[in-house]
Amino acid sequence: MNARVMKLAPGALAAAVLIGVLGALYAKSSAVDVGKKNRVESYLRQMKQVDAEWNVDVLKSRMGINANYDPLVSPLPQLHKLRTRLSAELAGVVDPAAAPALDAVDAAIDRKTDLIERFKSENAILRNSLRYVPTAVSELDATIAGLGRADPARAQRLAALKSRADATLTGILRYNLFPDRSTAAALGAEVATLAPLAADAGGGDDVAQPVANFVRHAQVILAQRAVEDSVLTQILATPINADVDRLGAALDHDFTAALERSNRYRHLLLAYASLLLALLAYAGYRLVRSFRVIARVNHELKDANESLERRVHERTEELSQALDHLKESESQLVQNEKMASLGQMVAGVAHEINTPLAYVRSSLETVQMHFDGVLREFVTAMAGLVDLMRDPETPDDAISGQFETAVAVRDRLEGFPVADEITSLLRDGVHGVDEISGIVVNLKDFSRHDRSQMARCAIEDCLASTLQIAKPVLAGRRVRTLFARTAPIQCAPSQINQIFLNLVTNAAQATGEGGVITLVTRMTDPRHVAVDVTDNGSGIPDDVLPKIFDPFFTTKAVGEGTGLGLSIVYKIVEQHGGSIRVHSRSGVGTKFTVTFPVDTGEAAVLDSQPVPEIGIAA
Amino acid sequence: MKSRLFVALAAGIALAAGAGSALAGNAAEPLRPLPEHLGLNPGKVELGSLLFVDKRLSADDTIACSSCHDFSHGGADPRPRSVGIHGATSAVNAPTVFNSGLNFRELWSGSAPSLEAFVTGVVQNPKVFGSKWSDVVVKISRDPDLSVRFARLYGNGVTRDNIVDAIATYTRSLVTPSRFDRYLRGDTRAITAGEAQGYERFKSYGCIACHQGVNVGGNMYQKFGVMGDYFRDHGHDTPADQGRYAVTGRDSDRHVFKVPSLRNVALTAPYFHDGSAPTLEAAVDVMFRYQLGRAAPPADKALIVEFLKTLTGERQPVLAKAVPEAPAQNAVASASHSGARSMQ
Repeated sequence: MNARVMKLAPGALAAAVLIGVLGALYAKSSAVDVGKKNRVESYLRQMKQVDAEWNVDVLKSRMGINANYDPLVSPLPQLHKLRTRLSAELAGVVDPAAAPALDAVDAAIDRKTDLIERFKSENAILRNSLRYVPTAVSELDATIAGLGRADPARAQRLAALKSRADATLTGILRYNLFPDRSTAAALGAEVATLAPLAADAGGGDDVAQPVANFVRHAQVILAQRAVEDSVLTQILATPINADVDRLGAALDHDFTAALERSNRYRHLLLAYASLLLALLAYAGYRLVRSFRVIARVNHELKDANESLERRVHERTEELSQALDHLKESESQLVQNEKMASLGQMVAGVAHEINTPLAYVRSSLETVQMHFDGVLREFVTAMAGLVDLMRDPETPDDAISGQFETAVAVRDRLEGFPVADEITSLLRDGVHGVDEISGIVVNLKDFSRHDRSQMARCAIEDCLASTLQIAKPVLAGRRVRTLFARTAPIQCAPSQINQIFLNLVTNAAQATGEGGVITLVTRMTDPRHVAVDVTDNGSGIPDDVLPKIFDPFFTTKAVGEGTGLGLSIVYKIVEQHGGSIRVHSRSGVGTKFTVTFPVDTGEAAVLDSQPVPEIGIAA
Repeated sequence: MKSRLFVALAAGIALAAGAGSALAGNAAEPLRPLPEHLGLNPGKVELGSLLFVDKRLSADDTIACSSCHDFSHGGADPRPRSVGIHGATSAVNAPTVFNSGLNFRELWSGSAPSLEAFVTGVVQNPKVFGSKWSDVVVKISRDPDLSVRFARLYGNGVTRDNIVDAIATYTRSLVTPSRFDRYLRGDTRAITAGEAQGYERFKSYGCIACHQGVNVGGNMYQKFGVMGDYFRDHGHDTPADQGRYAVTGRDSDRHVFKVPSLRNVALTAPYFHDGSAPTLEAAVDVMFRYQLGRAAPPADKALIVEFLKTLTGERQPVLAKAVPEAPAQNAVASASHSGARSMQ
C-alpha cells in the first residue's frame, strides 16, 4: 500500500505541477481586466469633467453669475468619490509608474481645493465691497447734497470731493472689469486723496464717515481684485486635467504593458496547452501501445504459463520419482548402516552366543559321555535281564548270571551320581539355549524393517531393548540408568533403537574398559521427553564436533565405519520431531541429549518428577 | 452724467444677479431651500438617534452627543464653552448639529472634512468623550438591542465605522425646513413683508456674500475681521482664535473660520466661535463692524434679525419619532408657524 503510494506520488506531483503551471499561465493571460480599464478611464473622464465644471463655476462665481458658492463645494465630494472608486479599482494593480501620477492627481486636487477655498473667501470680500462702493458714494452724494449750500467755497470743495469720489468709483469699477497694475497704482493714489479732500471740505463726521467707508472698500477692491485674479490664475493653472491625463497615460501605459504581458502569457499558454495536448496525445498513444503490448505479453504469458505448468508437472513427476528413488536409497542406506552396525556387533554377538553354546555343548557331550559309558552298560544289562526274565524258557542260571552282570554295572553306577549330573547338565544346557534365544529375539527386534510402523511406547522400554542388543559392545563398561516415568512418545521403536544403539556404541568406543555410561530419561517440560547419553570417555575434539552429524564423516579407519551413523541418528530424531544436542569436553566426556515430543494424544504425565540433568563430568 | 451711467452699468455687471431685486424661487437666488428628500436609511437614522444620546460613547459613561448638542437649544450648546469628560471645557462654542450634514466641512476650523471624520475624532478627543474606540465597541456590543440593530443594518455588526456611520446618518437627518424654505419655493406669504425686507437688507448689506447657499453659510471659510481686527479689539488671541491656521499653519489662514450656517440662528446663542455675542442683535452688530466694514441704521439691523428668525426650522416629524427627547421638538416647533409641513 505504502509502496504503491510512493510509486504514485511522483506522478501525481508531476500532474499537479503541470496543471498548476497551466492555471498560473491562464491567470496571467487573463490578468488584464478590460472592464476595469474602461471603468478607470470612465472615472478619469468624469474627474476631468468635474474639474472642468469646477473651473467654469469658479469663473461663474468670479463673474457673479453663480448666486452662491454651493456649486464650488459640490465638486470636491464628487472628486473624492471618483478618487475613492479609482483607488478601489486600482487596488493592487497600480504599477510603480502610475503611482506618482496618482499622487500628483491627489496633490493637484488638494491644491485646487485649497485655492478654491481661498477664492471663495477673497471673492466674498471683493463682492461685498463691490456691492457697497456705489452705495457708499451715493450715501456721500446724499450727505453732500444736504450740506454747504450756505458756504459757496465749501460747496465747491464738497463738489470737488463728490466729483473725485465719482471719478474714483468709476475708476474702481472699471478696474474691477479690466484690472491692470498701473491703473491700480493710480487709483490707489487717487483713493488716498479722498480723505484729505474730505477733511478740507469740512462737514465733520457726516462727510468723513462715508468717505472713510468708501476709501476702505475701494482699497479692498484694489487689493482683492489682484489677489482674486492671482488665485483665479492659479486655479486655472492648477492642472488637475493635465495630471489626470498623465495618470491616464501612465495607467494606459501600464495597461498596454499588462496587455502585452498578458498576450505573451496567452501565447505561452497556447504553446503550453499545445505541449500538454501533445503530451496527452503521446501518453494516449503510449497507453494504446502499452495495451497492445500488454495484450500480446499477456497472451505469451498465458502460453508460457501453460507450457510452464506442463513442464512443472513433468518435472514434478521426475522429482517425485527421484524422491522415491532417494527414499529407497535412503532406507537402503539406513538399512546398510544398520547392517554395518550389526556386522560390527556380529563378532560380539557370536562371542556372546559362543559362551552359552560352549557350555550347552559341553553339557551335552558330558551327558553323551555318561550315557555311552556305564549308563549304556547298565541299560543293556537291565534290558538283557528283563528279556531273560520275560522268557519262561530261560534257565535260572542265565538269569542269575545276567543279574550278576547287572548288579556289577549297578555297583559301578553307585559311586557315580549320573542322574543328578545329567539333570544339572541339561538344566545348564537349557539355560544356555535360553540365553541364545534371548539374543536372537533382540536381534530380530532390532533388525525389523518397520519404519512406518509407529507405535506409542515408553522410551525406557526402547532403551532397555537397545542395552540388551548392545550388551557385547558394552562389555567392560559400567552402565548406569536413571529412568524417570516419562510420558510415552509416538515413535518407530526400531529407529529409536537404532539411535541409541548408535549413541551407546559410540560411547562404549569412546570410553574403553572401565568406562561409565549413563542413560537418563527425564521430562524437560510437560511436552518433551529427553534422554541423556553420557560417557566419561575421550570426548570429541572441538574441530570435529561441528562435523559429527555430517554424512560420511567418520574418525574411524576405512572400512570400520560408514560415516553415516550420526547423520542417520540426526535424521531419525528430526523425523520424530525431536532434537539432538551434543556437549563434549575433550578428556572429560561427551553427553548427547535427545529430546522427543510426547505423544500428542496424551497430556504429559503430571506426577513425573523431572530428573535433574546430569552433567557429563558427574 | 456719462460717468454716472457707466457706474450703473459697471455695478450692474459686477453684481450681476447678486444684490439685485431677485425674486423668491429664482434660480439665481443666493439662498436655496433644503432638499426635500434625503435618501437616508431609516433604520440607521433610528440607530444613530439612540447612539446620539448614549453616554457609553464617553470613557466614564457621563457624556453623550446630546450633552452638548441640546435639541431644546437649536442643537447647539447654550453654554459659551462645552463641558466634556472630567469637567474639561472646550476651546470654542459648540455649534449646532442641525443641518450640519450640509456643511462643506465640520468644526469652526474646518478640520473635519466630514461628519464621519468628526465623529471618529470627537469620541477619542480627551476633552470631549475621552474614549478608546475599542472600549466603545465593546460597550455597545454588550447592549443586546443595539447589537441586534447593528447586526441587522450592517453586515459586520458593531464596529467603529458602523457606529460612526449610524451617528453621521442620524445627524444628516437633522435638517430643519423653515418658513423661509417655503418662501424660497415660491410661497411668498410664508414670510411677512418685514421679514422679506429683512432678507433684502441681508443681501444688500453684503451678509449674503458669505452666508449663502442652501445652508445660509457653511460652505466656505472667511477671515473673522476682514474690515477690522476683532481679536485686538476684544483683547484675546488664543490658539482657538487662530481658526484654520491651526490646521494649515499658513499665515493667510490666521483667524480664518468656517462661515457658520445661519439656519436656526435665533435659537443658538451665544454666537461666534468664542461665544462672545450673547444675542442675535449683538452678533449682527459685530458682523457689520468687522466683516462688512460699514454702518447701518438700527432699523435695518432689526429687519435683518427679523429675517434671520425665519430660518428657524422644524425637524422632520417622521424623524422626530426616533429622538427620545420630546422637548427638543417643541422648542424648534415653537418657532415655526403652524402647519409648516411642506417639507415631508
